[in-house]
Amino acid sequence: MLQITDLSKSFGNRMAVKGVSFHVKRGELFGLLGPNGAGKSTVISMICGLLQPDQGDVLVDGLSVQKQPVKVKEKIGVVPQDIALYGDMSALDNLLFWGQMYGLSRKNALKKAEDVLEVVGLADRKKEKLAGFSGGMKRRINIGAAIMHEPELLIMDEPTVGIDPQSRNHILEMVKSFNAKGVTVIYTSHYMEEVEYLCSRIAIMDEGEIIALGTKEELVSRLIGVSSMELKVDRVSETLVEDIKKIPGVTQVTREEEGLTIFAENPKERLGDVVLAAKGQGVAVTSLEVKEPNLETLFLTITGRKLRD
Amino acid sequence: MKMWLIAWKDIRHYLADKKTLLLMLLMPVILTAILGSALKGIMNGEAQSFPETTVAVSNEDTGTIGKMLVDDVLQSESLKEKIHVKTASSAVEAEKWVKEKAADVAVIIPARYSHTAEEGEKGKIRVVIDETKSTRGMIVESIVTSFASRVDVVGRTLQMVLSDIGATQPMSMETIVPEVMKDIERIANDPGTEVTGGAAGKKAATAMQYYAAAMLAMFLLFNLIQGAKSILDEQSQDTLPRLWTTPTSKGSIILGKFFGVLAFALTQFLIFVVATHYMFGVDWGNNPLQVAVLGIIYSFAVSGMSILLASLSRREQDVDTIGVMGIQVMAIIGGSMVPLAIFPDAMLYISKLTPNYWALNPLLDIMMGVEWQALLLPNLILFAFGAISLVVGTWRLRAR
Ligand SMILES: Nc1ncnc2c1ncn2[C@@H]1O[C@H](COP(=O)(O)OP(=O)(O)OP(=O)(O)O)[C@@H](O)[C@H]1O
Ligand SMILES: [Mg+2]
Repeated sequence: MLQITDLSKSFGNRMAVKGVSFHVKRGELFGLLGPNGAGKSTVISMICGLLQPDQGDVLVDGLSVQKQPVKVKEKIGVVPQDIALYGDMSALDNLLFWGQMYGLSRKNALKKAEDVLEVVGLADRKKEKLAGFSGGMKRRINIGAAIMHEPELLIMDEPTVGIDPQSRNHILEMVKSFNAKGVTVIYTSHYMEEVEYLCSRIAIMDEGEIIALGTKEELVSRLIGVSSMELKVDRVSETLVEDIKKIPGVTQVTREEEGLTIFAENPKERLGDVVLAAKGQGVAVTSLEVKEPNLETLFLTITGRKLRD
Repeated sequence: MKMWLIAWKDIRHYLADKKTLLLMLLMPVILTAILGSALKGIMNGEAQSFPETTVAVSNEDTGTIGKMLVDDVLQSESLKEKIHVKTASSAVEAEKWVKEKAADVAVIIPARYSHTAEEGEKGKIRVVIDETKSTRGMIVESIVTSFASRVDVVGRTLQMVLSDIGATQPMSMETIVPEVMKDIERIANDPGTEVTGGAAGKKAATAMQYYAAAMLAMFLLFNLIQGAKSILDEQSQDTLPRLWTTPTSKGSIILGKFFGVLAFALTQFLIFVVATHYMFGVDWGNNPLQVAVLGIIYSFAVSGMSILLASLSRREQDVDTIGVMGIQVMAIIGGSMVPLAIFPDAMLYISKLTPNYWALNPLLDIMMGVEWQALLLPNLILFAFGAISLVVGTWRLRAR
C-alpha cells in the first residue's frame, strides 16, 4: 500500500528527517511512535504531498506522490495534528465541504455526512457552529472530515492530543473499527499505550530516524532477558549509580527525577543487591519495582531517554 | 467545481460577518453622504464676488497636505486673483503681520500636519483674523476649515476602517457609530459649507458625484486586505495546508480564493451604486453598461491584487503592514481624500500608478457622458493590474 524509501527533509540546517524507510501493507494498522520533535509530522507531510522531500520516494499503491499527486491524494485521508476546520461553519457544513473537496457530489456528501456524524457520535449537534464545540468534539469532526470519501489509506497524526479520556476512547475504538473494515491506517502518537493497544506493526522514531521497526512481539522480544527495575529513593548520588552498575547482571542505569531505572538480565534475583547498595550509601529506598518490558523500556534502552517527560 | 466551492464558502463567510458588512458596505455610503452634502461649496467653482485679501501663511508642515492647501486651494485658478499669499517664516511673524495690518488673515499650518491627517489624528490649522476685516477673515477661515475637515474625515475613516478590518477581535459598534455621528454633526455645522469659491474642479461633477466615485474607488481597495487576510487566516488555522492535501490542484484552490474576493467586490460595487443612486440621487451617468463594465474590471483588479498581497505576506501582521500602508498611500494620491482637480501636475503623474485613479477618473467621465473609446485605456490598465497581480501572486503562492 505504502512504500517509503530513504526519505530526508531539512529545515534550514536542521535535518528533521534523516533517511527514513518503511512500508505499510494493505489492511495494516501501522504505528509511528516517537517523542515530540522526532519528525513524525514531517514524514506524514511528505506522504500526503504537503512537503517536498529533499531526497527519497513515497509510493502509494505504486504511484509516486511527487509525480501523480492528485491520484495519490484521492486514495488518502489525512487527519492533521492540529484541528483544521472552519469555526464559523456548522459540523455538517464542514463535513460537506471537505467531502466535496475530495470529489464527492453534494448529494453523496449529504448521505455520507449522516453516516460519519453517527460514527463520530455528533449527529445531534450537526447544525451547531464548530466554534462552540469542545476540543474533543472538534477532534472527532477533524477525523470525520478525513473519512468522508472513504479513503483506502487513513493517516492520523496524533489524533488524541489534549483531549479527555472519554473522547480518547471513542477515537481509539473508531480507529479499530475503520481498520476492521479494511482501511489501512497509519497512526502517529507519542503515547506508547495507544500504539501498543492499536497497532500490529510499529516504527519508533527519534531525532529524524527510525530506531526500531517490527511487530509489537518482535520489538518486545528484543528486550527478553533485559527487563528493568524502577528504584525510588530519597536522593540520588553518583556513587550510588556507580555501585549499582557494579552489581553482576546489570547492563544499564539511567537517572530519573526521584530514582533510577536499572536494566538487568534477571532483575528479580538482583533486588536484594540493589537494596544493599542503597543501604551502603545511606540512601532510603521508598520503592523498588520490577517492570515488564514494553515499548517505553525499549525506547529507553535504545536512546537512554524516556519517551515523554 | 471545487473552485466554486471554495469561493462560495468565502462569500458566505464575508456576508455572515456584521463587521464586514458595516465597514465594507455601509460605511462608504455614509461617508459619501457626509462628504458630498457638506462640502458642496468648495467643489462648485462658481465665481463670486470676493474681496481682495492678503493672507499671511506660515507653513511648518513638510508633507503634501499643507502644501496642497496653500498652492492648490488658496492659490487655485479661481482664487489667486483675489488672494495674495505672503509667506511668513514663523507663526509668530504671521500673527504679527495681521496685528500690524500687513495682512488681513493669518493661516498657520502646524508641523507634521500631513502626518497627523494621514494617521487620522487631529492636527489643527489656526486662522487668525484682523477683527476690522472680519468678512474676509471668515471667508478664508471657512475655506480652510472646509478643506481641513475633509482631509480629517477621510483620514480618520480610512484609519478606522483599516484598523478594524485588520483587527482579529470583533469590533465594538458602540464605539464606532457615535464617532461617525460626531463627524457628521460637526461637518453639517461647518460654516465652510456655505462658502463657494474654492478650487474649481476640472470636471463639472457635483461634490456628491465626485465623492461617490472617490469612496467607491477607495472602499473597493479594502478587498486587498480582506482577501489577503482570508488566505493567511486559512494558513494560520491550518485549513490551507489541509486544502493542499485534498486532490485539488493548487491553482484551483487559489482561484477559488480569488473568486471569493471578486464576488464580494462585485457585490460591494453594485450595492454602493444602487444605494447612492436611490438614496441620494447620485447620477451615475446615462450608460449603466459602462458603469457595470468598469465595476467588473475594477473588482477583478482589486481581487487579483489581494492574491499578490497574500503571496507577499508570510503572516497576518505582514498584510497589515504592507496592505494598510499601501492603501493609505493609494487612497491619498489616487484622489480619494482630496479632489484630483486640485492636485499639482507632478502629483497627477504618481496618481496614475494607483488602481483607484483608474477607477475614479473613468467613473467621473461616465457620469459626464463619455464614448466607449475613452474608457478603453482605463479598463485595459485595470485589467493589467488584476491579471499581472493574479499571475504573480498565484505563482508565488504555489511555490510556497
Ligand atoms: N516548517 C518547519 N520549519 C522549520 N522546522 C520545522 C518545520 N516543521 C518541523 N520542523 C522541525 O522539524 C523537527 C521535527 O518536527 P515534527 O513536527 O515532524 O515532529 P513530530 O514528531 O511531529 O513532533 P510532535 O510530536 O511534537 O508533533 C522539529 O525539530 C521541528 O522543529
Ligand atoms: Mg507532529
